[in-house]
Order: sequence, then structure tokens, then C-alpha cells
Amino acid sequence: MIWRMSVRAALAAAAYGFSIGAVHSLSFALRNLIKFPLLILITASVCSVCYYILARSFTRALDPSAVMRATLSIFSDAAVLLASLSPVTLFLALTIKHPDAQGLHEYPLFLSVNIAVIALCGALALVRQCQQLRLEYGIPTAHGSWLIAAWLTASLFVGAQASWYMRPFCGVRTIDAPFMLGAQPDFRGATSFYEAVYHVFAPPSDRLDH
Amino acid sequence: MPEENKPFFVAAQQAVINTPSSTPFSAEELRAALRNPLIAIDVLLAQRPRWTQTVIENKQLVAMTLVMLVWTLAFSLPYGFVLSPERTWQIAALFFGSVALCLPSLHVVSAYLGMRIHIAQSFAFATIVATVAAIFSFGFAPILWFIQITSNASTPHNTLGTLSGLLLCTAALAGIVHGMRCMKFARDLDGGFGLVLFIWQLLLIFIGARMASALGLS
Repeated sequence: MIWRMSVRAALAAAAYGFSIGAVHSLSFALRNLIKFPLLILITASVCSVCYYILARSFTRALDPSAVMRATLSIFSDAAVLLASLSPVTLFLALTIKHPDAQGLHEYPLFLSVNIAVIALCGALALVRQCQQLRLEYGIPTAHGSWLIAAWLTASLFVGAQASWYMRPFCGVRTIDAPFMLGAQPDFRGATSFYEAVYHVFAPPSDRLDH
Repeated sequence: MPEENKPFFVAAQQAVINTPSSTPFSAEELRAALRNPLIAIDVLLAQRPRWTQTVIENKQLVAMTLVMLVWTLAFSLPYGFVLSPERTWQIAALFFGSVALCLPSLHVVSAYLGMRIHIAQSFAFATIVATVAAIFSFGFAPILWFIQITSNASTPHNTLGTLSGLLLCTAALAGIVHGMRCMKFARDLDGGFGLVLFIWQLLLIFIGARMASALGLS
């Protein structure tokens, strides 16, 4: 069952990755066939011990395999929901007015739609998994919600850095990029997701001025 | 699968899980917890009512102390190792050291206020904070490792140090919350002990922060 779920999540993530990569080029779309499943695999693997300890802290009902099933099904559900929207995303990726020397045109719209879609699918998967924990393991809704919030926090903590390291997933057509930019500094000099967040609140130029 | 063919730890874990929630742990269960980290996590983290009952009834004192000492040490080593191999011992020193410094005050103050708390009970309620913090630090070790290998260490501001501090604070907070959640089941203990423990934990937070600073972790 775990294998089936993993394969389903990988295939679904690959489909969605392909559709958003298409906004740049076919090569970006093909790269995302590997990068998106890898992103899920890395996040789930790095967080697995943490998931188990968090589960034990909230409930006795989940053993290690149940924790693996529950966390994997959140990723899997979210990926399948995203995959169901990949024709829409692909259509948008191919039809938006692409950025050029004059400006970004409809590219920010494409990004916004994708952020909304990811948030919506993620939230739906979380709500469903919360109900599943109640039905399957008898975990009260309040405990289940706390547990899922804790799992989500851990996943975001790792997933944000993983996606930073594996960037770019999409981008402006006129700018090419390697398969992964890794720890290369961005335009503000940030080498990790957390530095980039820090730079949003304290831009490097402001700090030099002071 | 026939009962006799089940691996020992699976049978022991099922025994731990299936026992009613108010029964103290048996010597056999604690021995199993000493050998198997999954059972140790179950005993120390998941079964608060049974853990509290064992401490209140002051049963299996040596085995419980041993389980807590061994697993606090073992679970805190990986996080220290991820920081750097030379710092492997530092997280254990942070959690254990802070509790050891503050433990006498918990016992003496509660005795001074007329509470009939055995030294082993004071030790258990104090050390469970460090043990749970160590378990959480064990869960955070792979996360810190991942962020470490995917970031550039030579940046002007110490992002990794800040994130590590955040993770350690979360682990310590989890330990403190767990300690208070255990107190909810300690109805048979002297009523004022919960309040003393709560105030003592404020001291523990202060000393923990100073200890982190002394060890260069903050």
C-alpha cells in the first residue's frame, strides 16, 4: 500500500511539475518530471523521524507504519489534486503572454494562480487526512488537527529549503538556468531559503546603509 | 504470525500499548524500553498516564531512572554530531546540565513547603523535561543536517546557528509542555507540587538559556 501510494504521489507530482515547467520551456518541463517527485521524497524522508516523534507526542494510536501511511497520504492526496489541475496549468503556461524585454506581462498571474492552487490542494488534503485520522484511528479532531498542523510545519520547514535548493521549477523564458541552482546566491546574496526570508525583512543594501 | 515467532520488540511494544492507561510500567516493559528506542519513545513520550503513575507509586525506580538517563543521552547525541563531531556531547550537556543544576532547588523547595515528594519523584519530573527535549532534538537532527548540507556555511550572518537555536528552543518547549501534561495525571501527588514544578520550570528555562550561551549554542 505504501509503495502504491509513493508511486501515485511521484507520478502525480511529475505531471504537475511538467505543467508548470512548460511556462519556461520543454527542457524545464522535462526536468520537473524528476525534480517534483524528488522534492516530495526528500521532504518526506528528512522529516520522517520528526513525524513519528510528533505523532507519539499527540497520540498513542499511530505506530511507525501508520505514521508513514498517514504522512505519505497527505503528500499523495495533494499531488493527485494538483495533477488533476495540471491540464489547466499547462494550458495557462502555454497561453499566457510571456515575459520579454518590455516586462513580465502575465507571468505574475501564472505564479499567483499556482500559489493559490497549491494552497487549495494542500488545505484540502490536510482536512481530509484529519477526518481520516478520526475515522481510522479514533483520534479526536482537536488532537488530529494539532498533529497535522505540527506535521505541516515540519514539512514546510524542510520543503521550503528543499525547493530553494532545487530551484528553478519555472521561470522567465529569456533566462536559462542549470538543473538546480543549489546554494548559489540569489540576486540579494541569499544562499538558503531562510536567508532569503531574512533579506525580505532586512534587505542587504539597507543594512549596509546603516 | 504465531505469538512465539514474533520478534521480541514487537511483542514488547504491543504489551506496552495494550496495557490499561493507569497501570504502572512493569520491570519487563522498562527493560524492553532500555533495549529498543521505539519502546522507549512510547514509554517516555506517548504514555503519560502510565509514566506518571509509575513515578507516583515510586515503582521500578532504578529501571525508570536508567531508561531516562540512557535515552536522554542517546537521543541528544545525533543533534550534537550534526552540529559538528566535536560538539556531539554538547546537547546532552545542555539538557542534562541544566536539569542537574536546577534539580536540588526543586526537591528542597518542595520539601521546605511540606510536600512529601521522594527524591526519585523530583528527579523523574525534572528529568522528563530533558528526556523529551532530547527525543525531539533526535527528530530535528535530520532536518538540521539537511539544511546544513543545502546551505552555504560561509555567509555573513549565521542563519544555520539561528535555525539550530530555533529547533533547540522548540525541543526544550516540547519538554516543558510534556512535563506539565504529565502533572495533569498526578492527582495523588501533593497538590502544590504542580505549581512548584511550573515555577521551577521558569528557572530551568533561564538556566537552559545561560547554559546554551556558555556552550556557544545560542
